[in-house]
Amino acid sequence: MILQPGVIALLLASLGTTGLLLYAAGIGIQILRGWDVTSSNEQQLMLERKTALVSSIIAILLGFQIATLALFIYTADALHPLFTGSMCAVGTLNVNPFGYPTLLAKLACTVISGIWLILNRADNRSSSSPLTRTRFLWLLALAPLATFESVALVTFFMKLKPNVITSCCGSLFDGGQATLSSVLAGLTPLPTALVFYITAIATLISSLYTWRTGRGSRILAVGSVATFITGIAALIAFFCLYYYEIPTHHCPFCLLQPEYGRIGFLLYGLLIAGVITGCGSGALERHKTKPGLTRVIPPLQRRLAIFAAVSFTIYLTLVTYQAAVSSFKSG
Amino acid sequence: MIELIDVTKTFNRGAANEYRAVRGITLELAAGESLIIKGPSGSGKTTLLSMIGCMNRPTSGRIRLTGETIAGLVDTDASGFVEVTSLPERFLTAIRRRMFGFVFQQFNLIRGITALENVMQPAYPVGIPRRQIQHDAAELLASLGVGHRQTALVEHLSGGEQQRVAIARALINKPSVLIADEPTAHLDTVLSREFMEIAAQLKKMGTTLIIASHDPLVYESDLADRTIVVRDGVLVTTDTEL
Amino acid sequence: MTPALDRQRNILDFTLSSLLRRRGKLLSLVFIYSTVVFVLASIMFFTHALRREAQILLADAPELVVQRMVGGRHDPIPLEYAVAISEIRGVSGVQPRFWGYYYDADLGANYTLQAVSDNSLQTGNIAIGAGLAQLRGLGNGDAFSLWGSDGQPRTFTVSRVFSPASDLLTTDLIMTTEGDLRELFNFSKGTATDLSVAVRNPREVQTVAERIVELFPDCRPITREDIQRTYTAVFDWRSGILLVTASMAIWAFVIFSWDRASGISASERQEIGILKSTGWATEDILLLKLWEGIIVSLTSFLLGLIGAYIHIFFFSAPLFTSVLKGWATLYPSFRLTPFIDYYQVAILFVLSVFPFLLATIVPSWRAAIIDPDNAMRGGA
Ligand SMILES: Nc1ncnc2c1ncn2[C@@H]1O[C@H](COP(=O)(O)OP(=O)(O)OP(=O)(O)O)[C@@H](O)[C@H]1O
Ligand SMILES: [Mg+2]
Repeated sequence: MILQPGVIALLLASLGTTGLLLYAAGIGIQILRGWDVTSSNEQQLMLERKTALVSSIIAILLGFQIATLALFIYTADALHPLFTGSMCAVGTLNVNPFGYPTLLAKLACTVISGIWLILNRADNRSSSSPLTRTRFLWLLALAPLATFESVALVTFFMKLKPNVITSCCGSLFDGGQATLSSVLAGLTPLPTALVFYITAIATLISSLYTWRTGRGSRILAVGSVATFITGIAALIAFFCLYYYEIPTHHCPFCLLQPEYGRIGFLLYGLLIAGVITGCGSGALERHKTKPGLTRVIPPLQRRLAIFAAVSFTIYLTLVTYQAAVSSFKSG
Repeated sequence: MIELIDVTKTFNRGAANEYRAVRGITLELAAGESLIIKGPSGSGKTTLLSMIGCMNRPTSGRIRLTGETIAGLVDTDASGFVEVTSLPERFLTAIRRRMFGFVFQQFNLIRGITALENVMQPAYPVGIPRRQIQHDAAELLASLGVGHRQTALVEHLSGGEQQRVAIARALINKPSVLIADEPTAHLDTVLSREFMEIAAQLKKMGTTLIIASHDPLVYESDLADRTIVVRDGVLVTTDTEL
Repeated sequence: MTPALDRQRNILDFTLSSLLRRRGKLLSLVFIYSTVVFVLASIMFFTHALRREAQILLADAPELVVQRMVGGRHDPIPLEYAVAISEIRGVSGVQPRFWGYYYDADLGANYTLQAVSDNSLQTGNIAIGAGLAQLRGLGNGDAFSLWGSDGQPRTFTVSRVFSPASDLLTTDLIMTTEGDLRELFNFSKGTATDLSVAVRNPREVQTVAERIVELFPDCRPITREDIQRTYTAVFDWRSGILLVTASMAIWAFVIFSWDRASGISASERQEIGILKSTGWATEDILLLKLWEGIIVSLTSFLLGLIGAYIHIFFFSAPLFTSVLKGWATLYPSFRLTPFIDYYQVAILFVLSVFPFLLATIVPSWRAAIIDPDNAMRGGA
């Protein structure tokens, strides 16, 4: 266990949010059990009021998740000198098998709480609250995920022992064990970039279609997940070379450092915003025809679609621009 | 524009201190009409007003509203009515904000802020630019004859002035219905008369009035299109001596 | 502006005015809260600055130091080892070092005595750290006596005082010539305290270290990286322990006072009842409360942060030098180089603002669900 201030802050934030989320899940169970829109009694009124509490909790949770996502990576980076062979956050996260799962769980929590808030927004617009059950079922899925994230985080830090020899971004490319990041870094740059361009452009077309017509949200959701994944893969395998201007450096995290203008925040932020809005639009599709939502969901979906389109377009433009103007030439 | 069908309100239902404050009231009110509700203390007037004004929901029965103010807010049925009985609270609030203005028995002004800010306060969550609200509020205060007291803290105002501020506040969101609960209870005869004059003016401008009172000055005035009597939560048609 | 923005602005305005109306409560809350931030930030800035000083210092340290271990303890190392080590491939030079600790019984302080490796001092002369000079009232040309290991005092002349601003580790330092040090400590001939090894290619340090252990199993090579790591760990650990204890104590206090002070007052209850009866929704009150929390925490956060910055970097941490630097009587009085990075601020933010926001969600909600028809019956 390493008692570094960043570690303490992360543990505190994670346990706090998970505690609160479990509390919210408890309320969720009450709501799933007792919810009855047709009733106007005190009990139903209290449940309605509790949904407002849960929305606040999830909104705060989303904020915290985004903040601690960044803090987690920075802390991993700050700890890297403790581990032989580690040069940045990648090395620290590789020290034990809980590093990356924590990161992925945080990411998943962020995306799901974002989608939850979208469902919430749609539901609040409708007087019959037809999405209440759906929302609280999602909440019950989010709670174990957040718990997993906390457990993984605690375990990760508990098991961090200084002096462990680890592999870092410099050596990832050499192959060796097939960790997630080494696989990503090991992808051949050009084809990966090509796959990304195709996916992203297809998603853009799909989002514009949804924006114009209000249809095709499911395809948009799939597309935005694909764009998110290929976007990260292409960033690590291809575009980052143009930021670092070093042929073998495939680090996903160094982009967050001041040396590179912390451009990573913007790039990852855009991808996350795109995937949340794209998936949010898709998640609403099933409920489009429910009474009370027919006039609420389509405009919301169209707004989400254009938001996703804008996010992905900015991302696409930024990385393409960098590849075009950088003095570095691959191959 | 307002319909109550067999409305009841039971407090603390199921508990030992269960109390049925309103028992099966049916009532209909047209736009522009003015209604005075009479009844002894504890008869359920305030409870009835708060249900009409969407402050809380009846235990059983139905309350239906219509009007252009609420048409865009909630889905209406074929006849243009909205059944508010089982609406979620956030919709009740939205309807209340657009459709009703309240003048409370105690004036319920926020102490420590000026008369003007008190009048502005209900408009804040609506999403109107602050300057516009300020302008409207100042105009309302001036039209009620307390324009010169705008910047005074409400606790420094006299009872009559406080009530005018309370009326201005009730009107800031341009409601179509003004609900007043015992508006003259804390006023002397002169001030009560002045209140009745203001009410008459509002009526002339087309505002629907619902006033609960057991002050003869109010229910014997010619303001009322209709007077009803409530006793023990029940509507009694015959107006016997209180 | 859009209606949504106008709503935010109006509610924010109202929040500010209602906070100012309850100035007393606001001030006491901000005071407690910024004290919490102040303490946490002071601890972090201080340990972080110390760690940076140490790192800067270590940048000049030898890449590899070889110590001989006997019975698990550090023992003088024979000079023949130096010859053998200098022949290892990749080693560009080996320098024997002579140093030791000296306990000053009068002051109860420990000095570090070290021999210069060049000819910058003459026999009988010493150079001393600023802390020591100040404590003993010494200046250039003054005489200073040290007791030798044979029990006899020896008098030296101070020929130089290190500048006060130089750094953390020279404060208790006395530099002498090699001969004087040997004589004083009665070091046996043909040994040194340890060896400093220069390696041509920094990447080979590890290989050289392994080779040394192969040749001399009784030796322990310490790389600069090792030391850096230890320092990092020690500083992290110290600040970590402090932060944990401090934040636990502080937050216990805060929760206590929160319970006392912020259980929403009757007048506030009534005010919220009025707001709700005049058309504010639960969500609007929640927004009001959120703004309130943001205003209170950002104000306190900034105040605490600025306070800690002044405390540490302008006044050199008077409040807890003894706690943190506690390992020596003679602690440096130098000013720490002002230094803040976003990472530190982000950690502080998470440590102080997150708990506050988490703790206020449920109370805010309780306030927000006050029944609107309370106001119909004359308030709460
Ligand atoms: N929240 C509540 N819980 C329990 N009983 C309540 C509650 N609110 C009101 N009551 C009861 O309901 C009855 C009707 O109250 P209400 O305030 O409507 O009477 P009213 O006609 O307005 O009287 P007044 O003329 O004195 O204002 C009273 O007996 C009161 O005690
Ligand atoms: Mg009453």
